[in-house]
Amino acid sequence: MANIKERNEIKKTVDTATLEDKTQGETKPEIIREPIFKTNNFNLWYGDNHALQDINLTFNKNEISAIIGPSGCGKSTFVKSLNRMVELVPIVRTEGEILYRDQDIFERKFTVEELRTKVGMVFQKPNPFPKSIYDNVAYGPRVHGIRKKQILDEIVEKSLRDAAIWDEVKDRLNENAIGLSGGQQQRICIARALATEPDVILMDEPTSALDPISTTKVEDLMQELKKNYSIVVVTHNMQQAARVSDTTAFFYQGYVVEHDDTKVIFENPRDQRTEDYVSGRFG
Amino acid sequence: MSYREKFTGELQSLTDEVIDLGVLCYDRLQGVTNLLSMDDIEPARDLVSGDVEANRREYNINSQAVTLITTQAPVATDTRIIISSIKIAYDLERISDNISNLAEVRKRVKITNEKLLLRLRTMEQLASLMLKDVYAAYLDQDTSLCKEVYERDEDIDSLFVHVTTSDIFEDSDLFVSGQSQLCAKYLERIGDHVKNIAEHVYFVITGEKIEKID
Repeated sequence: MANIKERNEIKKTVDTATLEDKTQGETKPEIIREPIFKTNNFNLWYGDNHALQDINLTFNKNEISAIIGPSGCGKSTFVKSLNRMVELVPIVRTEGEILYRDQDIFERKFTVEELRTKVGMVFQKPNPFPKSIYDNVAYGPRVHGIRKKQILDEIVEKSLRDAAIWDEVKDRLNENAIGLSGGQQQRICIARALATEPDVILMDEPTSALDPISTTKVEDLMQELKKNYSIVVVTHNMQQAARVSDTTAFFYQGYVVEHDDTKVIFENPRDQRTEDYVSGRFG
Repeated sequence: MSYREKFTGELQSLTDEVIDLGVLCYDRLQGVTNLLSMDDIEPARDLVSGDVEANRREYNINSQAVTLITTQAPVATDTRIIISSIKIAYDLERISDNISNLAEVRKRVKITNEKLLLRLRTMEQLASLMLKDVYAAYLDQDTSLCKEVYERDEDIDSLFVHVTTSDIFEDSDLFVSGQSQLCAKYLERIGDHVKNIAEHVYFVITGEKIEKID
């Protein structure tokens, strides 16, 4: 009997020791998240079609936020709303707020030009201008009135370096950008977006037209860019969203079904529709 | 058939294989402690050689799981099913090993101490019931039954402590009592592995770890 008593004593000490270890291990440094985009009950109609319904989302600084969902769920419409590009469609009507750094982007005093300087965009198909690589990247700064060759040179080099394509094109800056491969063209478009020193980069399926190697390069680039910029990316590629993003929002039929840390969305989603979509049961 | 339907079918066949392995282990476990006191040594020999089948099935489960991971890039519940299948198959294979170890003991000694045999038999039956219940918990997706099975391992543990610290060995010779203690250890390990399986099943259903009930 004495033996058992002794064992229990030892067991107790061991148990309390592991308990202490656990509590020590759990105190993680808290990540401070600074919201950069916040939407409040944002609604959008194409004529009679209620395309986005009560969207309440927050995107944070220095994070990659992925938007996933089946075709026609409103994800591209939503991203294009963030830099007001969606207004190019004449029958569009919106309601609710989109706050960029706590300022409503639909307010009169906030001009579209100002917004689009801060919120750059990269599209699904690489769309360089039929001009030289240099002129493509210098286009934005020139529009903003920068004429000095030396400053433009600096901006072009920095943007191309940030877009991880400088080494590939530095000896042929005067060649036409159309002659580059699809993956290179896409990175030129990213460099062009970076040249105006934006704050946020919107990407609408940036790699769906690219081969796997170029895709990897763009994904690596996104990880680098996230240190200085905030990225919102629309993607059809589930694995890409799971790999590159910090948070993921699942859009379905114009609603946000679930928005959470990417880990939660792909490992243990709360909503059955999210589970069904990410595991390929529909969509 | 769509890819997703094919994948769903493959997941089903993977879990079926795991269940088959579980049934095999369950059958092997039945009456293993009775062998220890039997005059005939042949059933013990047969039981030892039966382990090969469990190893083969574990290997098959693992390779099927690897194929599914590489071809399907699974997420959410699908991932949990595949990863847990690998882990459950491992635990079942270890249970089968421990059953063989018990049978190996009979190849060396015959245990006649009735007091001891009674306790070992109880441990076997407890483990066997746990295995049966964890299967039921999976079928019914019953998380509270998972927790219960998880907790019930304590009963086997306390019997193990009882067997190894009480005076029921006093009459036996040293070699026999050593071997008897090994038997208790093997049964205790089987309980641990079923407990692990209960944790894995709980994880498949909820995506979370079992919180211990205090």
